[in-house]
Amino acid sequence: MPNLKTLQLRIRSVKNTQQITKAMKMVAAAKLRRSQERAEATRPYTVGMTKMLGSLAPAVANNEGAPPLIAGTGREEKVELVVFTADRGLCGGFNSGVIRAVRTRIAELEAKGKQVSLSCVGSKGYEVLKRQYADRIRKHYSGFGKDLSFDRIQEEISMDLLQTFEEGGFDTAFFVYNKFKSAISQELTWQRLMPIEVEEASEADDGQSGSYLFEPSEDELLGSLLPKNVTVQLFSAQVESDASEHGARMTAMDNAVRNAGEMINKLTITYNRTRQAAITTELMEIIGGAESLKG
Amino acid sequence: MAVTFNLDVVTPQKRVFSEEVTFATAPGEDGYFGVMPGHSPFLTTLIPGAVQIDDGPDPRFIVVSQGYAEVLGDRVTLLVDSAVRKEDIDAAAVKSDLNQLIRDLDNVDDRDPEWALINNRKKYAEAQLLLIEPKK
Repeated sequence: MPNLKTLQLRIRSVKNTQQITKAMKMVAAAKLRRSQERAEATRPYTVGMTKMLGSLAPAVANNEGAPPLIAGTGREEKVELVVFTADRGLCGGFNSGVIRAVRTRIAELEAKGKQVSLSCVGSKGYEVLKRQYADRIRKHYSGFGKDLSFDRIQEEISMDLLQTFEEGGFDTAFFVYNKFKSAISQELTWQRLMPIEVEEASEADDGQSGSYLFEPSEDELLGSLLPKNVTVQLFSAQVESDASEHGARMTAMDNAVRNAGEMINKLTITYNRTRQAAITTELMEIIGGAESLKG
Repeated sequence: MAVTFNLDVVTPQKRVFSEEVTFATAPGEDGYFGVMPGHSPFLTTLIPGAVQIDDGPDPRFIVVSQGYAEVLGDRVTLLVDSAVRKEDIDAAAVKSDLNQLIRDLDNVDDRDPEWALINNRKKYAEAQLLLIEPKK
Protein backbone atom coordinates (compact mmCIF):
# COMPACT_ATOMS: atom_id res chain seq x y z
CA MET A 1 0.00 0.00 0.00
CA PRO A 2 1.63 3.26 -1.06
CA ASN A 3 1.62 5.85 1.65
CA LEU A 4 -0.25 9.10 1.47
CA LYS A 5 2.78 11.35 1.20
CA THR A 6 4.21 9.63 -1.87
CA LEU A 7 0.81 9.56 -3.57
CA GLN A 8 0.44 13.27 -3.02
CA LEU A 9 3.85 13.86 -4.55
CA ARG A 10 3.00 11.69 -7.56
CA ILE A 11 -0.21 13.60 -8.18
CA ARG A 12 1.58 16.91 -7.96
CA SER A 13 4.31 15.81 -10.36
CA VAL A 14 1.82 14.48 -12.92
CA LYS A 15 -0.07 17.76 -12.69
CA ASN A 16 3.15 19.64 -13.42
CA THR A 17 3.84 17.45 -16.43
CA GLN A 18 0.33 18.03 -17.66
CA GLN A 19 0.84 21.75 -17.44
CA ILE A 20 4.03 21.53 -19.46
CA THR A 21 2.44 19.42 -22.17
CA LYS A 22 -0.51 21.78 -22.28
CA ALA A 23 1.83 24.71 -22.83
CA MET A 24 3.74 22.81 -25.52
CA LYS A 25 0.50 22.04 -27.28
CA MET A 26 -0.41 25.69 -27.27
CA VAL A 27 2.97 26.70 -28.65
CA ALA A 28 2.81 24.00 -31.33
CA ALA A 29 -0.64 25.20 -32.37
CA ALA A 30 0.61 28.75 -32.81
CA LYS A 31 3.65 27.62 -34.77
CA LEU A 32 1.55 25.27 -36.82
CA ARG A 33 -0.60 28.10 -38.05
CA ARG A 34 2.44 29.99 -39.22
CA SER A 35 4.13 27.08 -40.94
CA GLN A 36 0.90 25.93 -42.49
CA GLU A 37 0.47 29.33 -44.07
CA ARG A 38 4.00 29.15 -45.37
CA ALA A 39 3.49 25.67 -46.74
CA GLU A 40 0.41 26.83 -48.59
CA ALA A 41 2.16 29.96 -49.85
CA THR A 42 4.98 27.85 -51.27
CA ARG A 43 2.76 25.56 -53.28
CA PRO A 44 1.96 27.89 -56.22
CA TYR A 45 5.68 28.25 -56.89
CA THR A 46 6.39 24.53 -56.65
CA VAL A 47 3.44 23.72 -58.87
CA GLY A 48 4.48 26.38 -61.37
CA MET A 49 7.99 25.00 -61.49
CA THR A 50 6.79 21.45 -62.04
CA LYS A 51 4.48 22.59 -64.82
CA MET A 52 7.21 24.56 -66.51
CA LEU A 53 9.56 21.59 -66.42
CA GLY A 54 6.71 19.42 -67.59
CA SER A 55 6.35 21.48 -70.74
CA LEU A 56 10.07 21.69 -71.32
CA ALA A 57 11.50 18.36 -70.29
CA PRO A 58 9.68 15.83 -72.50
CA ALA A 59 10.96 17.63 -75.58
CA VAL A 60 14.53 17.17 -74.45
CA ALA A 61 14.53 14.03 -72.33
CA ASN A 62 15.09 11.61 -75.17
CA ASN A 63 17.57 13.71 -77.08
CA GLU A 64 21.15 12.68 -77.41
CA GLY A 65 23.24 14.52 -74.85
CA ALA A 66 20.36 15.48 -72.60
CA PRO A 67 21.62 16.79 -69.26
CA PRO A 68 22.22 14.04 -66.66
CA LEU A 69 19.80 15.77 -64.29
CA ILE A 70 17.04 14.74 -66.65
CA ALA A 71 18.29 11.63 -68.40
CA GLY A 72 20.29 10.13 -65.53
CA THR A 73 23.94 9.18 -65.55
CA GLY A 74 23.29 5.83 -67.17
CA ARG A 75 24.31 4.00 -64.03
CA GLU A 76 22.36 3.22 -60.94
CA GLU A 77 24.87 2.01 -58.45
CA LYS A 78 25.18 4.84 -56.01
CA VAL A 79 22.06 6.14 -54.36
CA GLU A 80 21.78 9.22 -52.21
CA LEU A 81 18.97 9.56 -49.70
CA VAL A 82 18.06 12.97 -48.35
CA VAL A 83 16.25 12.56 -45.06
CA PHE A 84 14.05 15.29 -43.63
CA THR A 85 13.36 15.08 -39.90
CA ALA A 86 12.79 17.63 -37.16
CA ASP A 87 15.43 19.18 -34.94
CA ARG A 88 13.45 18.40 -31.85
CA GLY A 89 11.63 15.42 -30.46
CA LEU A 90 8.38 15.09 -28.51
CA CYS A 91 6.28 14.93 -31.62
CA GLY A 92 4.92 11.40 -31.57
CA GLY A 93 5.91 9.12 -34.40
CA PHE A 94 7.04 11.97 -36.62
CA ASN A 95 10.78 11.31 -36.61
CA SER A 96 10.70 7.59 -35.98
CA GLY A 97 8.40 7.07 -38.97
CA VAL A 98 10.92 8.68 -41.28
CA ILE A 99 13.83 6.83 -39.73
CA ARG A 100 12.08 3.48 -40.01
CA ALA A 101 11.32 4.12 -43.68
CA VAL A 102 14.94 5.06 -44.32
CA ARG A 103 16.21 1.91 -42.62
CA THR A 104 13.94 -0.25 -44.75
CA ARG A 105 15.03 1.58 -47.87
CA ILE A 106 18.72 1.22 -47.09
CA ALA A 107 18.27 -2.51 -46.43
CA GLU A 108 16.43 -2.92 -49.73
CA LEU A 109 19.00 -1.00 -51.73
CA GLU A 110 21.96 -2.72 -50.18
CA ALA A 111 20.39 -6.09 -50.76
CA LYS A 112 20.50 -5.18 -54.43
CA GLY A 113 24.16 -4.35 -54.12
CA LYS A 114 23.83 -0.56 -54.36
CA GLN A 115 25.94 1.89 -52.52
CA VAL A 116 23.97 4.20 -50.27
CA SER A 117 24.93 7.60 -48.94
CA LEU A 118 22.88 9.86 -46.72
CA SER A 119 22.25 13.55 -46.21
CA CYS A 120 20.34 14.26 -43.03
CA VAL A 121 18.36 17.45 -42.67
CA GLY A 122 17.27 17.93 -39.08
CA SER A 123 19.28 16.77 -36.09
CA LYS A 124 16.90 14.08 -34.79
CA GLY A 125 17.30 11.90 -37.86
CA TYR A 126 21.03 12.38 -37.82
CA GLU A 127 21.39 11.43 -34.16
CA VAL A 128 19.62 8.15 -34.65
CA LEU A 129 20.97 7.22 -38.07
CA LYS A 130 24.58 7.89 -37.19
CA ARG A 131 24.49 5.09 -34.62
CA GLN A 132 23.83 2.55 -37.31
CA TYR A 133 25.05 4.16 -40.51
CA ALA A 134 27.81 6.52 -39.41
CA ASP A 135 30.00 5.62 -42.39
CA ARG A 136 27.27 6.32 -44.92
CA ILE A 137 26.31 9.79 -43.74
CA ARG A 138 27.82 12.32 -46.06
CA LYS A 139 26.38 15.51 -44.68
CA HIS A 140 24.03 16.65 -42.02
CA TYR A 141 22.28 19.93 -41.48
CA SER A 142 20.18 21.40 -38.73
CA GLY A 143 18.52 24.59 -37.67
CA PHE A 144 16.18 24.91 -40.63
CA GLY A 145 13.18 24.79 -38.34
CA LYS A 146 14.17 28.12 -36.86
CA ASP A 147 15.74 29.82 -39.80
CA LEU A 148 14.24 28.63 -43.04
CA SER A 149 14.94 30.52 -46.20
CA PHE A 150 15.10 29.62 -49.82
CA ASP A 151 18.62 30.99 -50.13
CA ARG A 152 19.88 28.95 -47.21
CA ILE A 153 18.54 25.71 -48.66
CA GLN A 154 20.11 26.64 -51.96
CA GLU A 155 23.51 27.60 -50.60
CA GLU A 156 23.87 24.80 -48.10
CA ILE A 157 22.06 21.75 -49.36
CA SER A 158 21.36 21.89 -53.04
CA MET A 159 24.75 23.28 -54.06
CA ASP A 160 26.42 20.43 -52.25
CA LEU A 161 24.11 17.85 -53.80
CA LEU A 162 24.52 19.23 -57.31
CA GLN A 163 28.26 19.32 -57.00
CA THR A 164 28.49 15.79 -55.68
CA PHE A 165 26.15 14.62 -58.42
CA GLU A 166 28.31 16.24 -61.05
CA GLU A 167 31.44 14.67 -59.64
CA GLY A 168 29.78 11.27 -59.76
CA GLY A 169 29.27 10.91 -56.02
CA PHE A 170 25.88 9.33 -56.70
CA ASP A 171 23.68 8.41 -59.65
CA THR A 172 20.22 8.88 -58.21
CA ALA A 173 18.92 10.81 -55.28
CA PHE A 174 15.68 10.39 -53.39
CA PHE A 175 14.30 12.45 -50.58
CA VAL A 176 11.86 11.50 -47.88
CA TYR A 177 9.75 13.80 -45.75
CA ASN A 178 6.42 14.11 -44.02
CA LYS A 179 3.97 15.82 -46.33
CA PHE A 180 1.51 18.03 -44.55
CA LYS A 181 -2.07 16.89 -45.06
CA SER A 182 -3.85 18.35 -42.06
CA ALA A 183 -3.03 19.24 -38.48
CA ILE A 184 -3.65 15.66 -37.42
CA SER A 185 -2.28 13.73 -40.34
CA GLN A 186 1.00 13.63 -42.19
CA GLU A 187 1.94 11.46 -45.08
CA LEU A 188 5.37 9.96 -45.41
CA THR A 189 6.47 10.72 -48.96
CA TRP A 190 9.35 9.47 -51.09
CA GLN A 191 10.28 11.43 -54.18
CA ARG A 192 13.05 11.19 -56.71
CA LEU A 193 15.19 14.29 -56.82
CA MET A 194 17.83 13.45 -59.40
CA PRO A 195 17.32 12.75 -62.18
CA ILE A 196 14.00 14.54 -62.00
CA GLU A 197 10.68 12.83 -62.40
CA VAL A 198 9.25 14.13 -65.62
CA GLU A 199 5.53 14.60 -65.55
CA GLU A 200 3.96 14.56 -68.94
CA ALA A 201 2.44 17.92 -69.64
CA SER A 202 -1.14 17.02 -70.22
CA GLU A 203 -3.92 19.10 -68.79
CA ALA A 204 -5.28 22.28 -70.24
CA ASP A 205 -2.52 23.12 -72.67
CA ASP A 206 -4.33 21.65 -75.66
CA GLY A 207 -1.20 20.24 -77.17
CA GLN A 208 0.32 23.69 -77.44
CA SER A 209 3.42 22.74 -75.53
CA GLY A 210 5.20 21.50 -78.59
CA SER A 211 5.12 24.93 -80.13
CA TYR A 212 6.92 26.82 -77.39
CA LEU A 213 9.30 29.60 -78.20
CA PHE A 214 12.39 29.37 -76.08
CA GLU A 215 14.70 32.18 -75.22
CA PRO A 216 17.56 31.45 -74.78
CA SER A 217 17.68 27.94 -76.25
CA GLU A 218 15.98 24.93 -74.69
CA ASP A 219 19.29 23.55 -73.49
CA GLU A 220 20.34 26.72 -71.78
CA LEU A 221 16.95 27.10 -70.17
CA LEU A 222 17.09 23.57 -68.87
CA GLY A 223 20.62 24.13 -67.69
CA SER A 224 19.41 26.75 -65.27
CA LEU A 225 15.96 25.39 -64.55
CA LEU A 226 17.08 21.96 -63.45
CA PRO A 227 19.38 22.99 -60.61
CA LYS A 228 16.73 25.48 -59.56
CA ASN A 229 14.18 22.74 -59.46
CA VAL A 230 16.34 20.75 -57.07
CA THR A 231 16.33 23.66 -54.64
CA VAL A 232 12.60 24.17 -55.08
CA GLN A 233 11.88 20.52 -54.32
CA LEU A 234 14.08 20.56 -51.24
CA PHE A 235 12.64 23.84 -50.03
CA SER A 236 9.12 22.61 -50.40
CA ALA A 237 9.99 19.36 -48.61
CA GLN A 238 11.47 21.29 -45.71
CA VAL A 239 8.49 23.63 -45.51
CA GLU A 240 6.04 20.74 -45.57
CA SER A 241 8.08 18.79 -43.05
CA ASP A 242 8.15 21.82 -40.75
CA ALA A 243 4.39 22.21 -40.85
CA SER A 244 3.95 18.46 -40.28
CA GLU A 245 6.28 18.58 -37.30
CA HIS A 246 4.17 21.15 -35.51
CA GLY A 247 1.01 19.27 -36.40
CA ALA A 248 2.47 16.02 -35.07
CA ARG A 249 3.69 17.71 -31.91
CA MET A 250 0.30 19.27 -31.31
CA THR A 251 -1.41 15.89 -31.61
CA ALA A 252 1.19 14.18 -29.44
CA MET A 253 0.90 16.81 -26.76
CA ASP A 254 -2.87 16.68 -26.87
CA ASN A 255 -2.67 12.96 -26.18
CA ALA A 256 -0.16 13.55 -23.40
CA VAL A 257 -2.46 16.07 -21.72
CA ARG A 258 -5.33 13.61 -21.90
CA ASN A 259 -3.25 10.73 -20.55
CA ALA A 260 -1.98 12.87 -17.71
CA GLY A 261 -5.57 13.76 -16.89
CA GLU A 262 -6.52 10.10 -16.72
CA MET A 263 -3.54 9.33 -14.54
CA ILE A 264 -4.43 12.14 -12.15
CA ASN A 265 -7.95 10.76 -11.81
CA LYS A 266 -6.69 7.28 -11.07
CA LEU A 267 -4.14 8.50 -8.57
CA THR A 268 -6.70 10.70 -6.84
CA ILE A 269 -9.00 7.73 -6.40
CA THR A 270 -6.19 5.64 -4.93
CA TYR A 271 -5.22 8.54 -2.72
CA ASN A 272 -8.75 8.92 -1.39
CA ARG A 273 -9.10 5.20 -0.82
CA THR A 274 -5.85 5.03 1.07
CA ARG A 275 -6.83 8.02 3.16
CA GLN A 276 -10.20 6.47 3.99
CA ALA A 277 -8.58 3.15 4.83
CA ALA A 278 -6.21 4.91 7.20
CA ILE A 279 -9.09 6.71 8.92
CA THR A 280 -11.04 3.49 9.24
CA THR A 281 -8.07 1.69 10.75
CA GLU A 282 -7.56 4.50 13.20
CA LEU A 283 -11.23 4.48 14.23
CA MET A 284 -11.16 0.73 14.71
CA GLU A 285 -8.17 1.08 16.91
CA ILE A 286 -9.80 3.77 19.06
CA ILE A 287 -13.02 1.77 19.36
CA GLY A 288 -11.04 -1.33 20.17
CA GLY A 289 -9.09 0.55 22.87
CA ALA A 290 -12.31 1.94 24.40
CA GLU A 291 -13.89 -1.51 24.41
CA SER A 292 -10.92 -3.03 26.22
CA LEU A 293 -11.01 -0.29 28.90
CA LYS A 294 -14.71 -0.93 29.48
CA GLY A 295 -14.19 -4.60 30.02
CA MET B 1 -9.78 37.30 -78.81
CA ALA B 2 -9.50 37.85 -75.15
CA VAL B 3 -8.62 41.37 -74.12
CA THR B 4 -6.95 40.42 -70.88
CA PHE B 5 -4.75 37.64 -69.62
CA ASN B 6 -3.93 36.39 -66.17
CA LEU B 7 -0.59 37.47 -64.76
CA ASP B 8 0.86 35.60 -61.79
CA VAL B 9 4.01 36.67 -60.02
CA VAL B 10 5.03 33.90 -57.65
CA THR B 11 7.98 33.58 -55.28
CA PRO B 12 8.78 30.64 -53.00
CA GLN B 13 7.44 32.74 -50.14
CA LYS B 14 4.15 33.86 -51.58
CA ARG B 15 2.04 34.84 -54.55
CA VAL B 16 2.89 38.49 -54.99
CA PHE B 17 0.49 39.32 -57.79
CA SER B 18 -2.36 37.55 -59.50
CA GLU B 19 -4.75 39.60 -61.63
CA GLU B 20 -6.24 39.99 -65.05
CA VAL B 21 -4.17 42.51 -66.98
CA THR B 22 -4.10 43.84 -70.51
CA PHE B 23 -0.39 44.24 -71.03
CA ALA B 24 2.91 43.51 -69.31
CA THR B 25 6.60 43.82 -69.98
CA ALA B 26 9.22 41.78 -68.20
CA PRO B 27 13.03 41.73 -68.10
CA GLY B 28 14.03 38.64 -70.08
CA GLU B 29 17.61 37.49 -70.21
CA ASP B 30 17.89 38.63 -73.83
CA GLY B 31 16.08 41.90 -73.26
CA TYR B 32 12.73 43.21 -72.14
CA PHE B 33 9.74 41.60 -73.76
CA GLY B 34 6.12 42.65 -73.86
CA VAL B 35 3.15 40.34 -73.57
CA MET B 36 -0.33 41.08 -74.85
CA PRO B 37 -3.32 38.75 -74.91
CA GLY B 38 -2.93 35.96 -77.44
CA HIS B 39 0.85 35.78 -77.20
CA SER B 40 2.24 32.50 -78.47
CA PRO B 41 3.61 30.00 -75.93
CA PHE B 42 6.92 31.26 -74.66
CA LEU B 43 9.47 30.27 -72.06
CA THR B 44 12.37 32.40 -70.95
CA THR B 45 14.68 33.24 -68.09
CA LEU B 46 14.31 36.53 -66.25
CA ILE B 47 17.01 38.76 -64.89
CA PRO B 48 16.52 41.25 -62.06
CA GLY B 49 14.50 44.23 -63.26
CA ALA B 50 11.12 45.89 -63.28
CA VAL B 51 7.94 44.30 -64.58
CA GLN B 52 5.51 46.87 -65.93
CA ILE B 53 1.86 46.01 -65.71
CA ASP B 54 -0.77 47.69 -67.92
CA ASP B 55 0.03 50.39 -70.37
CA GLY B 56 -1.33 53.91 -70.23
CA PRO B 57 -0.91 56.85 -67.94
CA ASP B 58 -0.74 54.95 -64.68
CA PRO B 59 1.12 51.67 -65.03
CA ARG B 60 1.97 49.51 -62.02
CA PHE B 61 5.42 48.09 -61.37
CA ILE B 62 6.82 45.04 -59.65
CA VAL B 63 10.53 44.54 -59.26
CA VAL B 64 11.58 40.92 -59.69
CA SER B 65 14.86 39.11 -59.19
CA GLN B 66 16.07 36.35 -61.46
CA GLY B 67 13.64 33.62 -62.36
CA TYR B 68 11.57 32.21 -65.19
CA ALA B 69 8.59 33.29 -67.25
CA GLU B 70 6.08 31.10 -68.97
CA VAL B 71 3.47 32.37 -71.37
CA LEU B 72 0.85 29.78 -72.16
CA GLY B 73 -2.62 30.52 -73.49
CA ASP B 74 -4.16 33.27 -71.39
CA ARG B 75 -1.84 32.70 -68.45
CA VAL B 76 1.50 34.29 -67.79
CA THR B 77 3.46 32.94 -64.87
CA LEU B 78 6.59 34.57 -63.53
CA LEU B 79 8.48 32.31 -61.14
CA VAL B 80 11.05 34.47 -59.40
CA ASP B 81 13.25 34.28 -56.31
CA SER B 82 11.91 37.50 -54.90
CA ALA B 83 9.52 40.20 -55.99
CA VAL B 84 8.27 43.44 -54.51
CA ARG B 85 5.62 45.91 -55.61
CA LYS B 86 6.86 49.39 -56.29
CA GLU B 87 4.82 50.88 -53.44
CA ASP B 88 6.31 48.38 -50.97
CA ILE B 89 9.94 49.20 -51.66
CA ASP B 90 11.75 50.49 -48.61
CA ALA B 91 14.45 52.74 -50.05
CA ALA B 92 16.54 53.03 -46.89
CA ALA B 93 16.58 49.28 -46.30
CA VAL B 94 17.46 48.54 -49.91
CA LYS B 95 20.32 51.02 -49.83
CA SER B 96 21.90 49.55 -46.74
CA ASP B 97 21.43 46.05 -48.20
CA LEU B 98 23.12 47.16 -51.37
CA ASN B 99 26.12 48.54 -49.51
CA GLN B 100 26.43 45.32 -47.56
CA LEU B 101 26.21 43.25 -50.76
CA ILE B 102 28.89 45.30 -52.47
CA ARG B 103 31.16 44.74 -49.48
CA ASP B 104 30.35 41.01 -49.54
CA LEU B 105 31.19 40.79 -53.22
CA ASP B 106 34.69 42.06 -52.56
CA ASN B 107 35.31 39.27 -50.10
CA VAL B 108 34.25 36.43 -52.36
CA ASP B 109 36.22 34.96 -55.20
CA ASP B 110 34.35 35.55 -58.46
CA ARG B 111 34.76 31.92 -59.48
CA ASP B 112 32.90 30.83 -56.36
CA PRO B 113 29.22 29.96 -57.03
CA GLU B 114 28.46 32.18 -54.05
CA TRP B 115 29.60 35.17 -56.05
CA ALA B 116 26.84 34.74 -58.61
CA LEU B 117 24.22 34.52 -55.90
CA ILE B 118 25.37 37.70 -54.23
CA ASN B 119 25.72 39.44 -57.54
CA ASN B 120 22.14 38.56 -58.40
CA ARG B 121 20.95 39.95 -55.10
CA LYS B 122 22.91 43.11 -55.79
CA LYS B 123 21.28 43.52 -59.17
CA TYR B 124 17.89 43.00 -57.61
CA ALA B 125 18.60 45.76 -55.10
CA GLU B 126 19.84 48.05 -57.87
CA ALA B 127 16.72 47.40 -59.92
CA GLN B 128 14.59 48.45 -56.97
CA LEU B 129 16.53 51.65 -56.46
CA LEU B 130 16.44 52.46 -60.15
CA LEU B 131 12.67 52.22 -60.19
CA ILE B 132 12.02 54.54 -57.27
CA GLU B 133 14.87 56.94 -57.93
CA PRO B 134 15.41 57.03 -61.69
CA LYS B 135 18.80 58.34 -62.72
CA LYS B 136 18.62 61.75 -64.28
